[in-house]
Amino acid sequence: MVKYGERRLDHTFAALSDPTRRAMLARLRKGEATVGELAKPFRISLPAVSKHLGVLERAGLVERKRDGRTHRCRLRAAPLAEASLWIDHYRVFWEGTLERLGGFLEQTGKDQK
Amino acid sequence: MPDVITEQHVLELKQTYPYAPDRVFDAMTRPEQLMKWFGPAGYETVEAEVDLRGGGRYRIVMRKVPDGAPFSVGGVYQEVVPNERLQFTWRWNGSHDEGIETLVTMEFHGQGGATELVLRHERFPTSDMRDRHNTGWSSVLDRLAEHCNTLKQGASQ
Repeated sequence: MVKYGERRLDHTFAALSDPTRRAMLARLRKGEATVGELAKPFRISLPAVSKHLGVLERAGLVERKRDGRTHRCRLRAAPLAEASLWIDHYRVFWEGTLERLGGFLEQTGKDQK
Repeated sequence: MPDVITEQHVLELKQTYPYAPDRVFDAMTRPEQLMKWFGPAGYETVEAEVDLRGGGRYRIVMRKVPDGAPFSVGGVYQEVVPNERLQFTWRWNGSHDEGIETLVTMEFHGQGGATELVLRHERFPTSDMRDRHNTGWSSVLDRLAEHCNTLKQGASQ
């Protein structure tokens, strides 16, 4: 069976558990951004943005590079792909299982009539 | 090639069944019914045990039809609201994600004789939370708090 690197997955999902961080990742998917550009849509302080970026960095989702007086942030997609695969595995399991539930309910529904 | 790059952090699925919530809830929680349907296509459930209450355990043993090696999933119910809501930990033994505790939440929404089942499957945000849920710790604490409240009310009357 495939092992997904549990630690990395834990860090990835912990990073993804916050909606602000998810929104930052969505923005970075469209391309690099400075910390300032990332902060713009959110009514939170730059230190708070930096804190979120720290979580994303430790999860290996974002890479920061100094660019003059600011930092440019770049998405590293590999952990996201792993998280997606993890979710997809359960999606396949549950979709099949819930479909069989439908068949069962229909069968016992008929039997009761 | 599918775009697997997404900020998705939980699995969420919805499925509607043309039966009342109690039928769907029973199918999901009664061992004799689980035995008849639980598992994806190509698998069968060979054992099901359910202790349906907060802090109670469940265990489901499955195998690939016709003679795959059995593997199991089990966990602790965090929340049981009959015909409305279930939340339970989920841990495989002998299969993918061996030993990792995750969390499943099911909501049964009645809509005029039909039921919309909303399922969420997620990892715990921290391993602390995971350890607490594993032993039904939060439900034990809840019951203890409730008990103390009852004692206090009794004493002041």
